[in-house]
Amino acid sequence: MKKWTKRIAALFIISVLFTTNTSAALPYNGYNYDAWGASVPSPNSYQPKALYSGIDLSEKVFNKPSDLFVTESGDIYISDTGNDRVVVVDKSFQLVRIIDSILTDDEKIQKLTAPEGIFVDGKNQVYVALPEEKRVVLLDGQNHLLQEFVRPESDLLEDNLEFKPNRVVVNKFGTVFILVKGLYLGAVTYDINGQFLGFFGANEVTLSVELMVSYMWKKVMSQKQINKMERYVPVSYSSFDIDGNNFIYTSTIDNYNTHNEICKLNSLGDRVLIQHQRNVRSLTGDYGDLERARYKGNIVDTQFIDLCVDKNGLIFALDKTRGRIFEYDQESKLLSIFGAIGNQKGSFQNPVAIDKLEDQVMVLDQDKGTITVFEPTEYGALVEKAVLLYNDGHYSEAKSIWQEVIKRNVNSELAYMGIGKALFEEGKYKEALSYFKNGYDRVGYSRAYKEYRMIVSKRYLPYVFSALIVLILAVKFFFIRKHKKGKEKGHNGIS
Amino acid sequence: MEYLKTVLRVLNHPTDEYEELKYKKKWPLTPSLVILFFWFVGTIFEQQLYDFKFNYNNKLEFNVLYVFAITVVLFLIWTAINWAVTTLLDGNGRLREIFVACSYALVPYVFVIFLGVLLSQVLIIEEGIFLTILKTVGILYSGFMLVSALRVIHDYGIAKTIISVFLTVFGIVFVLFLLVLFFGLIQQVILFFQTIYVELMLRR
Repeated sequence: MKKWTKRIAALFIISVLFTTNTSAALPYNGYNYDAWGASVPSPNSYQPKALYSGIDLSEKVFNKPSDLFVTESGDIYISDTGNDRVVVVDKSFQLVRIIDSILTDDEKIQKLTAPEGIFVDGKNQVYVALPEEKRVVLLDGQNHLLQEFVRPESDLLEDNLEFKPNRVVVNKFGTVFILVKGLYLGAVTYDINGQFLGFFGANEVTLSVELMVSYMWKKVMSQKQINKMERYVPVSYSSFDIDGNNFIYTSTIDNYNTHNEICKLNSLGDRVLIQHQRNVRSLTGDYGDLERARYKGNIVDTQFIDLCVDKNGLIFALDKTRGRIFEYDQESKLLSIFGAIGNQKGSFQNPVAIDKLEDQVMVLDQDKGTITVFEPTEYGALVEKAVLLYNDGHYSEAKSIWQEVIKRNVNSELAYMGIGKALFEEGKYKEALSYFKNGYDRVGYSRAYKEYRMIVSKRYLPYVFSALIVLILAVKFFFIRKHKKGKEKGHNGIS
Repeated sequence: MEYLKTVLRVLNHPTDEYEELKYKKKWPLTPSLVILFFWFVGTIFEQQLYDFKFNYNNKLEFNVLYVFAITVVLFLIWTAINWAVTTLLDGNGRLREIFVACSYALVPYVFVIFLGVLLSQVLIIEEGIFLTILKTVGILYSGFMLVSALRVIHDYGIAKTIISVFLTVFGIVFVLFLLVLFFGLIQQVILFFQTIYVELMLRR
């Protein structure tokens, strides 16, 4: 008897020991938006893996770090603005070097002051934006100054505008794109020799009631009066990134008109990102959170402070307001939302920069001075894999992955759409219909229905038509006989 | 059956038949009520059963009272306002005449709604233009019938009829505005008395 109780007690303790060994809950709950623009819970796609502070990486606390860049080889450049240095660590977060000075041609050493935007090209040459020094410098691996990019001579630039560059990207041909604080003309572009080329891809002026009213007034007012009026100018970009095909992706902080906060620009500055169609027309082309909240009289909406594009074309955009990261594919389909404002691992105080290292997402927090590394969960990895196959047109290969996704999230419209497309390819039109319906893919549904309708009509139309012909003949015969009879009767009556 | 024949005759020759109805003073309410009922049901069908390919209504947000308001209630307001306007403009029509004659005019539109629901099941998106054409034809026919009905029962010329239609529409907007205002004020009044009541209860 005693033995038994002891055994049971031991078993109980062991089981308790094993069950309590679970991971802590994440500080955020995953969700996504359905076709109507309503938020629907979903499993988390990314989870925090590690957290690195300045002490972990460089034995000195980061002071207001402002940008993060990951090179193709996996080196991570962190611009530690408050400490006037750029910290370089490798893939495994071991310190490689620290850039805190510039060597000029005549071997003089200049101190680096308040670096912000960083870009590293394929030859390991580093572009650093220095807003305090009003220039962008190009350094080689040994900190030698190769080139500098300063305020261009242009009539379009207003005289009182200070040239404070804060973000820089370079395309494959060596064209340098620089974002300047408060400059609404778009990115300033230079060629490889530091020659000013022009302005690139300004945002459009957002249409608003105030703008219309001022436009009407300007028609009747004199030039002197117009000059005194407030000017309506496009919103400047908050940040940008470039992908392998020289497309530039921009993010905008805009409280007015919340559409096209994320843009993909081709070399001419045209917007080429495909918008995801939703059932509610006004939500098509809206990025970030679709539901807007009011707080103390102000509309609280997503403000994209930074974004990055990975080699698969997935776009990760960082929301400053709520500390969320929105993941989009090349067709603007929202894949996942993760992150939060807070003090736990996986949440931020003031997120400012985002970049991708292999399949991990890294977010730089300016106030905490930390880098949070997120890794995809099983669900997140499945969705990404499936959507990439799907976008390349490999519907049948993506099908089994989408089925795994549905097992984990029955609300995934993308999964239904994907399976629908695969069934359509296999010729199972009738089964495809219900999947397209669940995925709110009207065009796909219509195409599947067209094929299905063809099959059904081919099978039944001959019978329908023959029945019709028989019916017509029968009616005709019947009526003619009746008619004749009537006539005969009539004749009889007369005679 | 008798009613159905009358309605079909009206559909075929609106002007002549309306004149005959007016002459015979035959204005039964039953067919009108049936038509209104079908309009109501048809609009529900249009929102709920219109096929997925063409239907952009959120089925979760469906509200039967709203549908009732935009069909039957709207028609009743139309009748009342039209009567009010045409009485001022020397119209001959009585309230009952307006009600019945206008409800006959709805028949093409109601028919087109049901036909549209059926057709939407078998058409694909590229053929959706047929549904638009169908609906446009239905609305135009109904509009034509409405104008001829009002013209006959009020003994108007065509210009005066159209003016009266515009005045009626304006009147409906005006009445809706007054209703909103009225409800807003009533709400304030109720709130006022409620506050007094609460205050009295607390200070007792």
